[in-house]
Amino acid sequence: MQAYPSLFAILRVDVLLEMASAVFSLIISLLALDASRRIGSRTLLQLGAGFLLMAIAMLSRSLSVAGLLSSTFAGEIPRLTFLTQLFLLEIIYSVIRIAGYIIFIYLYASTMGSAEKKATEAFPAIAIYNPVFELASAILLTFVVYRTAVNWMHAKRPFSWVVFLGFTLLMSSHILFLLTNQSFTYYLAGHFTQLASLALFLLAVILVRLDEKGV
Amino acid sequence: MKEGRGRPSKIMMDANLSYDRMSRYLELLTEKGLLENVEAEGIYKITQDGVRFLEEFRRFEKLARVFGLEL
Repeated sequence: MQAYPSLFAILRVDVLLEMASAVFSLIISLLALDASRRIGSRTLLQLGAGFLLMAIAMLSRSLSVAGLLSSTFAGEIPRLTFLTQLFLLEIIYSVIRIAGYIIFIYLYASTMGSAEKKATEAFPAIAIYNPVFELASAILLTFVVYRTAVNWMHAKRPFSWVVFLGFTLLMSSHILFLLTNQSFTYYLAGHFTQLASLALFLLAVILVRLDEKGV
Repeated sequence: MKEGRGRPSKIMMDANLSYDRMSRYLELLTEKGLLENVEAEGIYKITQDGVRFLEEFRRFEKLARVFGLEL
């Protein structure tokens, strides 16, 4: 029966959603970094670096949490050690992701113009979120949301509303994570919102590519 | 410069640059192989690499603008 708990641990919805978000973020980052390399643009390098840091943070947290959960279910790691490791992971995750947001802030500020079921529930959502980080992220992203709103409403560039909506959802996801202690539903909603925001960023990139090909 | 070639004086006026700055840019772009100095005609001509770079630049400029950024 050992294999089943491990499998369930890995298949936690939040972990899966975060992995998908990380993949989206990684794709956007690679596209931006490739563009930066081709034309030597520092702006696109910073945009790519911001999304890359988000992807690294999300991917490392989802993989580490899945690994830790499966080891704990298998009885290889005591619960106390598990929680300590999770706490450390959360700090590392927060630092990396905040670093990504700081790059976005710098970028936008410097240029004119993000029995098994019971066992799973036994690990509270609160263990894998950090209220201080969520609050800081939401505050930091307010500025980016404002700048992308200006870009959408004033510059009226095609598809800029998709990016504005993406950053609005990313900011909303941090507010939803912040409300996790109120209800577990907020936590899952936060993950869905985060995934939707990254899907929108990816959609914006795809729309621009299709538009320039005249599709 | 729409036709991909032009005299330095015309480039200077169109780009609204000082002579010194324009000379530096032309030298740099020629070194990178994006422009060709046709001395016999006294003009600068865009190369195939230059055309490709310009196309890519316009494409990625569009991407940056969607994110509200300027290249």
